[in-house]
Amino acid sequence: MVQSRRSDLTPDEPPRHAPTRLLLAGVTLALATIAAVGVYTFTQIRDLRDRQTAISERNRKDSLQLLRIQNDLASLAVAMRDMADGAEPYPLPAWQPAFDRLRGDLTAAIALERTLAPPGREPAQQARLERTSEAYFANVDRMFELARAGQTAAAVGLIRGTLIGQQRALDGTISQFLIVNNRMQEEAAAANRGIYDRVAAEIMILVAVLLVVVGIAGVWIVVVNRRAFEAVRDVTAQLRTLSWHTLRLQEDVQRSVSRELHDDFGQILTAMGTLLGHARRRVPGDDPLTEQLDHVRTIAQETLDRIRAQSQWLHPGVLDDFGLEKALARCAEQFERQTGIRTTLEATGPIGDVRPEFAIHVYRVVQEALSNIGRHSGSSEARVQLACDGAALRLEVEDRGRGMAAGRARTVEGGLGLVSMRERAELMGGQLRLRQSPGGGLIVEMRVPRAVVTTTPEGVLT
Amino acid sequence: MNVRPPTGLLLAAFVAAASPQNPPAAGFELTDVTTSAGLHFTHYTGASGRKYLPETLGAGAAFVDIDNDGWQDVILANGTDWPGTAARGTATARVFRNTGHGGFEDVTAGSGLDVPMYGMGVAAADYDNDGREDVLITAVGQSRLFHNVGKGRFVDVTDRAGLGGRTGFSTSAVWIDYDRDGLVDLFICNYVRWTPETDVFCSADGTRKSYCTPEAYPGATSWLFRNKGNGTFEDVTATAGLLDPTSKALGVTMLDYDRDGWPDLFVANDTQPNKLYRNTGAGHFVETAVGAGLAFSEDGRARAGMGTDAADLDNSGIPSVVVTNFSGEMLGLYTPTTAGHYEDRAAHSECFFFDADLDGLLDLLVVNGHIDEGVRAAGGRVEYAEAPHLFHNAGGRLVDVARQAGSDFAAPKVGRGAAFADIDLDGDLDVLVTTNGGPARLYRNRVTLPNRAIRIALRGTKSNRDGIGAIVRVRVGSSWLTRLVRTGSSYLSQSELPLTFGLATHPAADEAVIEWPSGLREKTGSLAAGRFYTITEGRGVTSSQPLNRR
Repeated sequence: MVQSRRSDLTPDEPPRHAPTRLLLAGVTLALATIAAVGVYTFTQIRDLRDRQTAISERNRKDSLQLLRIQNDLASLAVAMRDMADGAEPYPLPAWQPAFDRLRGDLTAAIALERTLAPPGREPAQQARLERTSEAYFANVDRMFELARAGQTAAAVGLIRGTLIGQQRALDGTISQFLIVNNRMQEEAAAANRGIYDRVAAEIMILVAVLLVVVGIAGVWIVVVNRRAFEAVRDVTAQLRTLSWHTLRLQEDVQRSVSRELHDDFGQILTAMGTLLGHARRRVPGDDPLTEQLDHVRTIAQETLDRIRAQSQWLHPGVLDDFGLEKALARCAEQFERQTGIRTTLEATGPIGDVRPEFAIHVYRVVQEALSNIGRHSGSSEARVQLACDGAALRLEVEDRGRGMAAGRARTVEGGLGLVSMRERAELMGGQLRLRQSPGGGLIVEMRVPRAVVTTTPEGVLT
Repeated sequence: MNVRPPTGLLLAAFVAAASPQNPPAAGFELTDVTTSAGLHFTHYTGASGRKYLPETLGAGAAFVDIDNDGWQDVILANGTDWPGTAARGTATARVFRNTGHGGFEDVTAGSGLDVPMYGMGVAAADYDNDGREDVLITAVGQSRLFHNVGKGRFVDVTDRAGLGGRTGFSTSAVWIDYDRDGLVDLFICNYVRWTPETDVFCSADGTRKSYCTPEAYPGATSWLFRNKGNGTFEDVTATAGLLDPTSKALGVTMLDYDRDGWPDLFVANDTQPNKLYRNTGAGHFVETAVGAGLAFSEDGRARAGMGTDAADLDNSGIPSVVVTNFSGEMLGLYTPTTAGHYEDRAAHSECFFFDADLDGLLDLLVVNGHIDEGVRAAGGRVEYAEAPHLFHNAGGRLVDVARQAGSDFAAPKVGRGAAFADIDLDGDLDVLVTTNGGPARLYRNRVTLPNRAIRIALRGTKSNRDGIGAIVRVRVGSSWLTRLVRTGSSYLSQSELPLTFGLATHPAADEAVIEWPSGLREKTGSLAAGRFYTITEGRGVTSSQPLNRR
């Protein structure tokens, strides 16, 4: 009786869930974690960059405007000194366009600088700058009025007494602004360093979490995968057990039918033939009944031959009586006789050690392979080689026909035959494959572990 | 005081005209013919180890036809020994007469220009309309005006002209008929208030003296002298609205950016905002650089403006402005956007300008050179001698083709001034480059494309005789090529006064329109390529000669 190692598996066992959803869930979780970390990191860095750029850019622009103001103030200082000293051969009113231009630029620069000023600047400071600037240019206007009125000395006095002092006050205010800007730049740089440190720490934590998540997901995937493989292996074992049962049942039935045909119907027909012979001898030679009895006797004999042939096909009795090698020899002879394809058999090693329950499968494989040669190969000869060595039982059935093309045709047209051969080989723990013969034909090759087919290894089908 | 960082300097913009096409990268060759042409000159800086600021900045040169023979001669400004130092020579400006077909002979001795002075720049024009080109040589100290008395001889008329006693650190200069009275007036740039006596100690390492930056000295106003017509000039700086003691001017160019017919001035200042003086037409200028977008760099900084030029780069009829700056700064290429407003294009495209292949589009030449011989030791990528740039105008895209133009030309040099002229009258523009403390280099141009040109010289009758300030527009097909007759520009230098219009492969210019400073608008008919035309105010083309295209 054939039985499975997992014979405790029954149809009542609840079906396993497919692992696909779990795997997808794991992958999705890992990807989601990576995406979350990426988005977080990108956002942090972008915000940091924007903030740093904004601070630096504002500070740079503000400092540029402050330098522009300082430059204008320095130019005014030079101009006032030249005017006071009479360094240029031009009357005081001739300087007004230069002052107007500097005034325009200075006013524009102060207005622009106010929009760029750091948030921490005291409003009072800004107001003082603008008031001083207005007062300065009001005095400049007065100075030019005096100059145009011919009061050069009074104008020069205004320059020396008031304007130069106001210009210096403005210059001092701007210098203070620049100092504040530099200090803020340093503070911003320190703040940026703090932000960088914090972001770095957060990224480290996130990377650690990511590694843990990916590690857990990986272990989980491995476990799920292993379970899936075990489930597949169990199902395969059950299918193989079922298949084995089916084949054994098939062989048993065929053996039983074969015996019935051979023993019962064979004996009946033999008896009928004997009785008809007796009756024939009792009938006079010229009696017309003689011819009829001969005819019936011939029919009985032909029926007997057919029954015997069918019995042999259903189960080769010679296998039970004389072993695998003789059975294969008979099979080869019959094949050659029936098809005209010259067939040789080479058997080496202890073929007789092959246990009967496996021998029938070897026989069936040879039978199917020769049948395929007869139907598809177009070969004029066939060779069956069976060898049993210390490791395995090796079978090769070779023809000289059309080779792999025919092999493919056999696979397509007689797919069940090839499947049956492969299944029998795998049930014996072996493998079956087709390969190109060096002579151009096809070789059906089967290799079965000797330990399986010649002994009864523990845990193997019995 | 710190030493200035790297330096860079000098440009000259050229002319040419015609329908745009796409020439190869360099359709011309510039060959160094200095020696074969006989132009033997080495600039004398007067350096004696005192590291005086002017030693790093000179000197310029000019192409001038001093003897009216039709061939462009060369005048090279030169330094001299400083007061208080042992005289090591008798360096003066040098004059080289063009003997025809590009050969030169030294005619300095006896020319009247062989006056010891610390010369910086050269500007030439016929200020008294006597038919001869007069010469101004700007200087550290007293700049000098030389009156051309004929046959290539000059007389120093500085004092007689009323320019005596006006000393300064003068650099570039232009002749400009700002009041359009038929007499060219004189604009002189002044850099800073420096004299050997007021020199300050600057040092890079705290011990040894080095060259100072301009921040070490206060600025100085440039001057405008009005030509009174009797051989004298009057200082109208203040009344014209140009008094500006804050500027540190190195370069000046004349342009008509608002196309009102009145010549305007653009002044390139070093570490100070550039100035654009709009001529109101009433003898007065209004400074508009900030509003026009020409005063500062894109980020609002005053750059180290040095050489400058203005020309119609895109054949739109409105001039673009180029300003060379100190190394480490972008060269400013200001192209017109809306009326009276410019945009600094170089900040985006990193390119600059000049034309040499007569394809009808102006190209750009820029020569460079650091001020400090020890700059290499200070590290960085800046060298004392630097390679020039020659940017080919490929229809709006400027491509540096200096190396393709010639290995001699592309060799590093301590470049300062640059000027162009057709020295061999073959129709293309040859190049003269001066170096600081080194030789002047003359490069002969050979256009390898089948491009041809027309050249036009103007003769004013009611306007000033040179036609300075006249706008010449030449039509080639549907393209109008606009050029302005002017002096100065570039840096300390002056190119020839005749205009060259590249016609590409067109056989002729369809017409020319001359807008004279007098207000006369004059048209000509078709002008065949390959010829030199003289157009006299009110009389049209009065002479035409073939060019010696080889």
